[in-house]
Amino acid sequence: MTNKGAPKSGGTSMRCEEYRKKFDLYFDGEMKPREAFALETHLKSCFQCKAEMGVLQRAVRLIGEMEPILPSKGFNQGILKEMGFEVVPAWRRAVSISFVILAGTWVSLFFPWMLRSLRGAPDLIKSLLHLPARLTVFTGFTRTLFDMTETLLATVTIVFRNIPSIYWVSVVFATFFLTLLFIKSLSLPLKEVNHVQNSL
Amino acid sequence: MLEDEHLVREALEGRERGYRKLLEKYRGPVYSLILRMVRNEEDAEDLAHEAFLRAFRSLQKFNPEFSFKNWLLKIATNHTIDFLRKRDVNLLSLQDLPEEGSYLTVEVKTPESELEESERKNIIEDAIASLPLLLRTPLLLRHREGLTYEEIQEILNIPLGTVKTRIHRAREMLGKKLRGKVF
Repeated sequence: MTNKGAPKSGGTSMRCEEYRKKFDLYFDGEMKPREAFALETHLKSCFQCKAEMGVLQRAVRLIGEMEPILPSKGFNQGILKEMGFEVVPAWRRAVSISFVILAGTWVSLFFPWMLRSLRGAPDLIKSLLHLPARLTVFTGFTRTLFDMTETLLATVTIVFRNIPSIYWVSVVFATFFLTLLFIKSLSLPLKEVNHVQNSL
Repeated sequence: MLEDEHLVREALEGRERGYRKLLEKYRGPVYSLILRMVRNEEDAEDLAHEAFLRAFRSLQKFNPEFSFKNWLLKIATNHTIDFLRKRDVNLLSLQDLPEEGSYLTVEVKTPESELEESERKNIIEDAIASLPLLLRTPLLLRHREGLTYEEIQEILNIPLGTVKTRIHRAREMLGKKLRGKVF
């Protein structure tokens, strides 16, 4: 197959220049099928145009593959801080997440034992419920004092007898509140932002 | 870009997560583009910082029907162009473009087979850096960010014909810089 547009020697013909001007359309897929076919036919027979097209194609591909360059480490923190957020360092996030995982594992592992130790809890609750009732019975000062002391001692005894359950109830509540506190520290809401945006 | 819409909504609700995720997602493209425009790391970091702050503080003006990335790139490029214009009035003039045939060429003498991909990338980075800013920016938006001519027109706020001409000239210059070299 012969191609009138291809240069006979190493130089470029007028036809080559015309084709090269249309490389853009070819790149963008905006060339008519007939013209595109003509260009492709020319490229098969013209080494110089083929090389030129090759350079451009590689260049365009490499531009697309250029990796994004990242700014310095504290870039995000700097912006978030300026936006009014308390910046949570990465180590604190890691510690918080580890804590939540550990606390969860710990509570779930000891949960059965914890339930067993709570067996004495009803006595404690019963005693606490009777305390105000006993305190309101007045049959004289001595009697009242006696009753109060007796109630107090009974309560203290029950409390001491139920130490494991009190301990575990406290542990559950403390873990729950600390977990909430840490989760909250991971993402602090900003009241200021909407105010700033509204003022713009 | 439903994810962006969701993150923008989170940010508008004042949640740090929304801002942080948007920063993580777009700090690379924004900083890279600005750095390739100004060619100075310190300036690029300051400009990217200011561009993000501008965008975040006017987030309520963002129309979710459009791409957040394009909106952000528009803020970043406009801010960078303003900065460059203040620094050097002539920098943005098309008159200072080198004449045909006077382009700097990238010297590469290694045979193609031996040329590492990383070396090719360095060559292309250098070649792009030597393009005039007015041609470099649309070329990067087109081929690095993969935007359409219409999107570039919107970002740079110039006529569609001008966008096409500039990209055409940028490719032409790039080709001339690399022509005759083993690339």
